[in-house]
Amino acid sequence: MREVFQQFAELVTNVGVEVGVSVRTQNVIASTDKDARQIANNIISTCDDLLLRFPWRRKIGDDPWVLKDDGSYVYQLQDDTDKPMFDARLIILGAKWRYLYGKGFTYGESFRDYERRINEFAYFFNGTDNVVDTNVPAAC
Amino acid sequence: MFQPLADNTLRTRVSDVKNLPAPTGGWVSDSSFNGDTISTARILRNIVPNQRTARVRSGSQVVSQVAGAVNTLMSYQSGATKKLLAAANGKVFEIPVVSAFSGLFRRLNKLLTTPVELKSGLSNSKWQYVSMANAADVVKLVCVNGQDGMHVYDGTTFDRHTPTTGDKLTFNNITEFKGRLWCTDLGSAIVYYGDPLSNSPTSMTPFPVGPFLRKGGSIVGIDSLSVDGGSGPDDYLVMVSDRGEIIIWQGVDPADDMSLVGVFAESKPLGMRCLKKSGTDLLYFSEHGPDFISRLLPVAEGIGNELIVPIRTEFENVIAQSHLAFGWDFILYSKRSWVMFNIPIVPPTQMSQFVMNMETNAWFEITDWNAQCWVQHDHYIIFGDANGFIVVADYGGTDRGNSINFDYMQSWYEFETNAKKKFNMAQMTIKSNTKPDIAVDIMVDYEEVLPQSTPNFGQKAASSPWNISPWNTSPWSGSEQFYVNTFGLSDIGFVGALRYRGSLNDATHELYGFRVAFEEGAIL
Repeated sequence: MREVFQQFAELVTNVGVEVGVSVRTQNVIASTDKDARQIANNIISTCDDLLLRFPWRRKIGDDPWVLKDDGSYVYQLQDDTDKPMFDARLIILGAKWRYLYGKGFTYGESFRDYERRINEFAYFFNGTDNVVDTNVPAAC
Repeated sequence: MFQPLADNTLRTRVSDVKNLPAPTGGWVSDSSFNGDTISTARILRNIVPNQRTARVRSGSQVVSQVAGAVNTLMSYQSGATKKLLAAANGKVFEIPVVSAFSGLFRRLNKLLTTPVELKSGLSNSKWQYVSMANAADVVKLVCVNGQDGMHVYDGTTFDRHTPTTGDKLTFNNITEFKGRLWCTDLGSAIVYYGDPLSNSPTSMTPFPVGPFLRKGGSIVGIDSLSVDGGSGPDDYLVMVSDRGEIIIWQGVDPADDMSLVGVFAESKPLGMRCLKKSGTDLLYFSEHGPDFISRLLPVAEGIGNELIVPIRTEFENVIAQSHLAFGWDFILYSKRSWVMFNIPIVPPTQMSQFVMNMETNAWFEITDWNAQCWVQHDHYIIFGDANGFIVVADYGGTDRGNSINFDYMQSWYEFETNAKKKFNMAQMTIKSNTKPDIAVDIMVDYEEVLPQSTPNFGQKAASSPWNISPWNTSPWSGSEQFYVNTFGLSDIGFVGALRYRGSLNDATHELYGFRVAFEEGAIL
């Protein structure tokens, strides 16, 4: 199961499309568009979450997890062109449910989609299901 | 410390949504929050409240320029002959312009005409005037400025007219009442009236009204008022003293049947241009803001309406600051049914207009038209500014080539719940011919700040690609279309009000309504 990586700004755009808002994706960290900033922070929260989850806890450990445009690796998302080394689809799902949660909208289905995809990755890398209780609200 | 506003173990929607209309109720600054304020605005700047939407106003275009500040614009019409006069720097000019342009939204980024000097060497340029035809239907503008005596414009020349008796250099205000000219005299409580049916009177007869003024002072304003007192329409002559006393007279011939209706104490008038006809009524612009004179009359039926001014505090604030400045004026703009009050914010360069849409009684503010004086001439509303520019207002898509800045803030609103609210999202419906580019935020708990968030309204689709789109069915480029955009909010408070600002350059922007999603929390 191959992980596909996307740049930070692309991820913000894709999350915006999925939740139905149109966001400005230039300089997303300091954007004047509140949605762009919120989605950017949702993406960062998702990445923080994934760093502690299997299999990335084992794959990445304490190593830097952001690939810069120049080929170097760093510990945090800083620029629009930075690529977090997690599956893009997974990040989008994680940011999506966090955004919906933050806005007070129904987010249960998006949350399950996210956890299910984590399980699929865990199965691919480990050969067994990594059971997650999806009824427990996760921190956002 | 923040806590979840509500338990949500099922991960279902906890946000509520309220639909809110465009601010068709207009600018209402004198209110706290309540359910009646959902269609009103705390700030409504350069946005016009209409019957069902609110639309950014049109622009303005320079048509001519004279030397010095334009203090007076006068419109002359006799049959098909229409002339525009401007007074500035002790001179009077004819501006041979306005028939030269046609079609709204046509761009006029150059000075169109060269003004023609009619008169020079005058003491000031602050003229009051009245248009009057004589018995032979010869129309003249009769003008006074408080220093240079009566002047008359007959469509060609602007010259001094000297009545044989009763002439005064200090005539400073003028009106026509039942076929006679009436003039006030600077610093005096004696008014003068002319020969019947004459716009070039040979005599001006004194009519002392000082004995009726209980506070003293002099007469500065004079105009007529038509009312239906229950036994058919009747006209009254209204005089205003500089101390705010209003004397109302009834009758035709001052030497015979004029009788005093009453003397009323009001607030002091704002300058010489404090009285203007509005339909059958008369608007009085005083230090208390504008109001109808008819409500003072002790005649019951059909009159006595007080003008409800939901921005009276705004009036009073700026009046307290600038009441001595030149520029207080107001004009009825019939094409739009607007009554526009000219407000010297920082005179003479920063002037605003507080405007009421008379169809809906909704108010709004216009900025960046820094007018010293106004006139409605032909089909156009025209102002003069402190730099000598003569400008057609409500015309085109820019303010003299600059963008039109607009600002809207909803009235404070509880969203029908007295709980604390976390505002999550908003959705706006805007009709425009270009992608809206606005800064928008929700203000909370009475703190008014500039919005910082600039949501993206998405790229407008290429609606009609050239050489592909079917002729006569695809929309033209630049045509208006609806933008419905959803964007995030992030503030917490008991009362909230959406605010947005933006600027337009040759574009349209019409707000239809918006929705706000929020979560309810604690009650204190």
